Amino acid sequence: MNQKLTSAIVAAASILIFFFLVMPSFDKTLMIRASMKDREDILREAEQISKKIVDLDREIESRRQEVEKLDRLLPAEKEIPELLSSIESIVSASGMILSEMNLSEVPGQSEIRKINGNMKLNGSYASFINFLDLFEKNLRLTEVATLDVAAQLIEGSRALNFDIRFEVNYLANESVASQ
Amino acid sequence: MPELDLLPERTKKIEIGAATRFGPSFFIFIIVFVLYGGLFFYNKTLESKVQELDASLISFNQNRDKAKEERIAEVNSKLNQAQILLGRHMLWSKGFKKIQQLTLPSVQFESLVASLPELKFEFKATAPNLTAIAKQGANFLADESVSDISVNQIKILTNGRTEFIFKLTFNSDKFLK
Repeated sequence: MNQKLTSAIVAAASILIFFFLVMPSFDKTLMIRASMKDREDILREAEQISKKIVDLDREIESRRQEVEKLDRLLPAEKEIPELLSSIESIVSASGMILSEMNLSEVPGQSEIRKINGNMKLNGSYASFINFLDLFEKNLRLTEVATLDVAAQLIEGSRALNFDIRFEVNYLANESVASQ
Repeated sequence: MPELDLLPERTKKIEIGAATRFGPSFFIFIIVFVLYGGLFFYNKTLESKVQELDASLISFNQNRDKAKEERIAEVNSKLNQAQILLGRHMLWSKGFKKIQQLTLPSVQFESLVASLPELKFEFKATAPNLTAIAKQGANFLADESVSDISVNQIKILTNGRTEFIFKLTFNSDKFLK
């Protein structure tokens, strides 16, 4: 009688242990293994990205000159002083005379920010074509939007007045940082 | 005098062989217990591995070269945007050279307005006569970069020349590229 009772108690304890300790432990094992796999995947991916970053950095270094050109083509800042200085050198190289210039920033939140410019110039047609060529092929990308040309007679000689509206772009810093 | 129990009501089963105290239930208990113990220690090992992985991830994040990453992102973004901008880049110097090639020597420009958003090239000029204006119009239309042309405000000036306004509508990809 005692033996049967003990045997029943042991069997009951086995069942209780199985359901209240072994099963939850097994569930925990599955859970930990899943989270371990997630972490391993993240770490593997991070290592691959890190390797890619090293490769890209090496490539940027090897193409330093092209990257510097790219920086000048589309700077991450407005770089107004540099813009003014390049316009001045283009105007003087083309033989034009700059009489007026305005620059205004276009409000916007897009990745590419614009600066609108307007300038009034005087000079010959040949100088103007030369100016346009230099201005449009300038390293800092400039887009001429409208052109207004009028001939004017000054003391018997024909002079040309040019009114040019243009756009200069730059890359918003936030958009770079957010990537 | 005590009663003699010749036929006992309770009999005891005679077991032959080694005595099994608790039988299979005890065996199952042992297995369940070993299973639990095994899982417990296995879980502990896994937990320590997870902690190691977490530590590796933290250390990886701490060792990241943020400046390098930002520089790569900047160059990448600039490259993408520059490609778009260069694709849209228009060269008015080419447009003017084309106009110069298509203009008759007898036509003299007075003023002009050119606009990229409106795709128009409008100019006021003088020509010796209406035939010259017609020839000029035909010259422009013959070029594939000019999609439409309109002429208005034709005036005969006191010096004998004819003043007119031409408005050309152009295809920017052919006219300014």
